[in-house]
Amino acid sequence: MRPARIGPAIIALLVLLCTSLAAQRGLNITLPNKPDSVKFMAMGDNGTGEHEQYELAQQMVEARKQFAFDFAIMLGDNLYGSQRPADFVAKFERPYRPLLDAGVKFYASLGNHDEQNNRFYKPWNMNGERYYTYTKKNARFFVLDSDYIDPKQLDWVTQQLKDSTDDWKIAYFHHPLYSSAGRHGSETDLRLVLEPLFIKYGVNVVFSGHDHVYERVKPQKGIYYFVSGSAGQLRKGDLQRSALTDAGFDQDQAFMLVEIDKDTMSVQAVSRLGRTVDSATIARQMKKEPQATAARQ
Amino acid sequence: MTRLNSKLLAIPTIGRPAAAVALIFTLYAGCPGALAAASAQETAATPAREGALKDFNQRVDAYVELKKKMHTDLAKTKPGDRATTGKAEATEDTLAARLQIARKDAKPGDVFGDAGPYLKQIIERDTKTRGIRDAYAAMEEVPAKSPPAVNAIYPEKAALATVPPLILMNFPRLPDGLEYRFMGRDLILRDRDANIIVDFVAGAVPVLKP
Repeated sequence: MRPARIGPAIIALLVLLCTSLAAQRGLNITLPNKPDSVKFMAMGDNGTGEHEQYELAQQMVEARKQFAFDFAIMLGDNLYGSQRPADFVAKFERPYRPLLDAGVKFYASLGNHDEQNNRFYKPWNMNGERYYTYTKKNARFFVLDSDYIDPKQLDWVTQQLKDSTDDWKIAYFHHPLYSSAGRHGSETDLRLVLEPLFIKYGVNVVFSGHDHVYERVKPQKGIYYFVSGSAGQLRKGDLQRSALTDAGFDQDQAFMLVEIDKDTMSVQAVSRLGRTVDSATIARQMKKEPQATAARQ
Repeated sequence: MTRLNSKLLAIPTIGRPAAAVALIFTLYAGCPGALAAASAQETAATPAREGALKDFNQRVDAYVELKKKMHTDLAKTKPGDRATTGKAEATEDTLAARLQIARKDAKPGDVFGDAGPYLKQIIERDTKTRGIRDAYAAMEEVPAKSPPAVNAIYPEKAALATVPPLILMNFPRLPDGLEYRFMGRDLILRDRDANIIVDFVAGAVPVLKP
């Protein structure tokens, strides 16, 4: 009988040890982590090459051990300063090497600090385009170049949104349409041209960077907005919590883990110390009734 | 044209666009009636305006044709590893050098021509509609380096400041590879593929003196 008692005790001890280690590292994945869900990571304003970027990257690696995201979205300012081949190593390839080696695909958008030729850098999967679209299971991503939203790009995104029949329509680009940060704040000009399209064609969620904070914005006209621009840069204390703010964090670098499972999206924001600084679950917005149906009534 | 109590100023606010734009807003906001009149006059599609914009488009097309000739034997950049961006830059440099030689006698206004003042009006009108913060946001990351020069390389280290999309909506459309940007208070026509300044409109962003 003795071994039967020792077995559970050892298991309990191991569980305690693991929990304690995880707690020490501050990693506690709150996402549902369903087997067939869409799992990704979001980060913005990361490419500094400074130790904070590396430390946060380490947390991404740790997070992936528990939450196996298979792609990452980059919200712009992927490289700061010099952007020679050596900088791609120091500011991207080296910090994220474990993720790249594990097959995580990165899909970048361009920020105002990114050189436009970076769209040819294969690991960012832009295929030489400033704006592009791709799908992951039941979600379609629309990647825009918010540095230069000209009529041609607007026509393109209008058509792409119109043609999309995907359950989830997710847009991301560098400049936030809504932000409570003091440095930049909401880009109202962009909002005037993009928001009507997003509403009309049923965009569900929008991710941006530019402001070096994390903010989960209260749904605006039915759309969820996130600012996640502190994966390298940080403007500590810059978040001026406003009526827009649902949750925010501006005390350390952070990134986001996102999971889409059928009609639910779960998000978790993780800091450089591995602390969960925000988590939330949102339900996919109901699509509007087609006009023809409305007319019949 | 009604210009209210404003005078375009030369230079001093370069690098400090916020104050300049705030000043613009403050002065304009005080005169809504006059503003409306000015706006109505500015938006009117006069034959002179239409002609100027048409000529501008033709000169842009001519530039694109010239560029095509300069570009024929240059390899098209394909996505690749980190060295690819360097190769793209090398292509960019070669194209820039060829265009600079081909357009060595180009002068400011050669492409914008008489369209310059109309584009300036569009910017002024846009500025009037903004709140202070928006006006600031529109200009805050514009490279302060000024004045630009025709055929000069766009400063490589400068952040590419966003051009307000509402302005772009009202400007004449440009073909692929060309774009409008601001540099200091000047509006530039930038060749994205060669990273050179094709032409510019000096003092396109208004600054008012109290």
